[in-house]
Amino acid sequence: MGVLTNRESTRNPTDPGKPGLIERVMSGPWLFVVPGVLLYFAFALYPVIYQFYVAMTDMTTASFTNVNFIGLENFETAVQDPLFWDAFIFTLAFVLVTVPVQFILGLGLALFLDQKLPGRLFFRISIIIPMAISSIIVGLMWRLLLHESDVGFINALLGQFGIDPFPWFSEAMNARLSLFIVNIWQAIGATMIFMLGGLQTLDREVLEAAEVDGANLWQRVIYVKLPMLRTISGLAIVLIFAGTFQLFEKVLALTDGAPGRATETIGYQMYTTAFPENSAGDLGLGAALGLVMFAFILVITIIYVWLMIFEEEV
Amino acid sequence: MATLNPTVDTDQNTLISPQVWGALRKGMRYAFNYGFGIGVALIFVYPIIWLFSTSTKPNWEIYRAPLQLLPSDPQWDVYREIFDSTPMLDYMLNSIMYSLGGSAITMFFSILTAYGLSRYLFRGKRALMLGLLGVQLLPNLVRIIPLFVMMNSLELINTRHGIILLYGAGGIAFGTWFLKGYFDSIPVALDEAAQIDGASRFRIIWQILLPSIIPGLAALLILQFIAHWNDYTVASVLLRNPDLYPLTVGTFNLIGPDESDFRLLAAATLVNVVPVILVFSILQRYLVSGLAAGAVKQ
Repeated sequence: MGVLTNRESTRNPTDPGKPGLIERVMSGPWLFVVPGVLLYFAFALYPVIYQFYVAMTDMTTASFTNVNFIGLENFETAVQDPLFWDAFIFTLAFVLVTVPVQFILGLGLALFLDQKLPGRLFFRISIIIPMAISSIIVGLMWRLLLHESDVGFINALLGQFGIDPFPWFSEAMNARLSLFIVNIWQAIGATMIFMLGGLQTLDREVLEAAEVDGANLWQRVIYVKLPMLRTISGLAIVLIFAGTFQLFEKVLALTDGAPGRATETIGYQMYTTAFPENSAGDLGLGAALGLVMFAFILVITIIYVWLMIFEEEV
Repeated sequence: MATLNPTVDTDQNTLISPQVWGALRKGMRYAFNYGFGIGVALIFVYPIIWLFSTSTKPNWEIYRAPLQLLPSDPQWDVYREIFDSTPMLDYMLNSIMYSLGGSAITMFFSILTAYGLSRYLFRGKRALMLGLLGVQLLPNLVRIIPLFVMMNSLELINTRHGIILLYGAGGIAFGTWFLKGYFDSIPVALDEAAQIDGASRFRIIWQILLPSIIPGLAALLILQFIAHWNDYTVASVLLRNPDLYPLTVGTFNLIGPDESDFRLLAAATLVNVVPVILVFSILQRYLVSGLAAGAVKQ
């Protein structure tokens, strides 16, 4: 046994005083945290960065190897295409109408289900069942339910009241309305559950105090419950925004962008540009459209994270 | 309140005693609540019931009596047709495999990551948590093109393990956030006691922590399973070989824009919907409590 220098002793794993690098790693959080985080970021974050590169090339589904760097050409192609602006404006308008309607209806249902009501479990399950169905299947289902002939369920139902069959898909505005209804039908359960979760955390004593003080139902909702749910409401609205902005599968299955291209969203345009049915897809242009969506969702994400910090979740 | 003080004038109707009036009002409120609740429930559930009814009706009845709930002569041959002459059963097995495989990978890594984030303090932890949260809000649609290119160069396109890996990796951020809330609710003293007894960290996770967060694990498993079961976008891009299609892609390609056969369309959508609604309804107790804990931690 020679005399160890200080430098050597810090490396000696049997020395209990100063742990070596391997021991530090083994006893720290990294062993637990790193694998999951690496795997996640490799498949969730890295593609977003890689998308910037793809958007600046002429990559297609037919050729990955012979790729030319073309700078911002894909973005120029996109903004010079009036169809892009149609889809852009439609998506934005659709989101702006959906957000207040879905939030208010979802909040209303949550307030209704927050009452003591035997059987409310059944009502709650019913409302969230459409959430469990795939968007693509929801689109297919509703194509039957909204069938333009009097065989479709909704038109048959209208017929019972003497109303003529409504052309749910053949006019631009009708098809947009159909998409709106179907989307709300499926998505409202998420808002309801989210707000119900918030309502159930409210301090019962405060609510009872308001009731004793003579506040009526509306006053209790508007002046007591909603102010207490400010941050939760913000989060719910942000989530509706993010969810509606990426509308694609329901468009594909319900209207396929028709009539004409009246119901094409940015997501639909991106997907069909990159992966058309019978030809090589333009991945570069598709990626550029994807980045337009990314820019919007990034803003939404920042608000979301900010609200979560506000809520002191992190 | 009125029953305590019969002299209070309810001024709506002095002929009716306050007790009767109170009971009447209570009854009316109940009636309204139930009427409203049942009406709302029907909006969400009746379309599915109608599809089921349509799928079992004889052809003439679909067109002549679309609103009739019970078919006069229920026929089940469309379901036999679906499972005998189309590959729907194979699609279903694929869906089960992808959903379970993806969920298993997510659970494994989320448990480890959530444990690390719950039990250790380290520099950059908050930034990491926020990073996971932010990236998690980005929808798959936004990164589907670069993912397609990546998976292509990794030679994972058109493979079962490729899609399972992608599903599994994609759920880790949500799973980590979700399970961290549950780990945080268990006192660290429990870990320390076990550590003094000589248990390793992995044993602490496996034998002490996991058994006490089973509702959370169940909720996460259901949520992940349903999310993968319902995916269309990722699977339709990554899988070009029809033998590998999950149920969503298979159904959409089978029926696509053709709506001439009402019965087939109705039955095929129901084959997609029924398993997941069953799982969802039976286990929704875990879901609601789990979601509430994940979304709005008290």
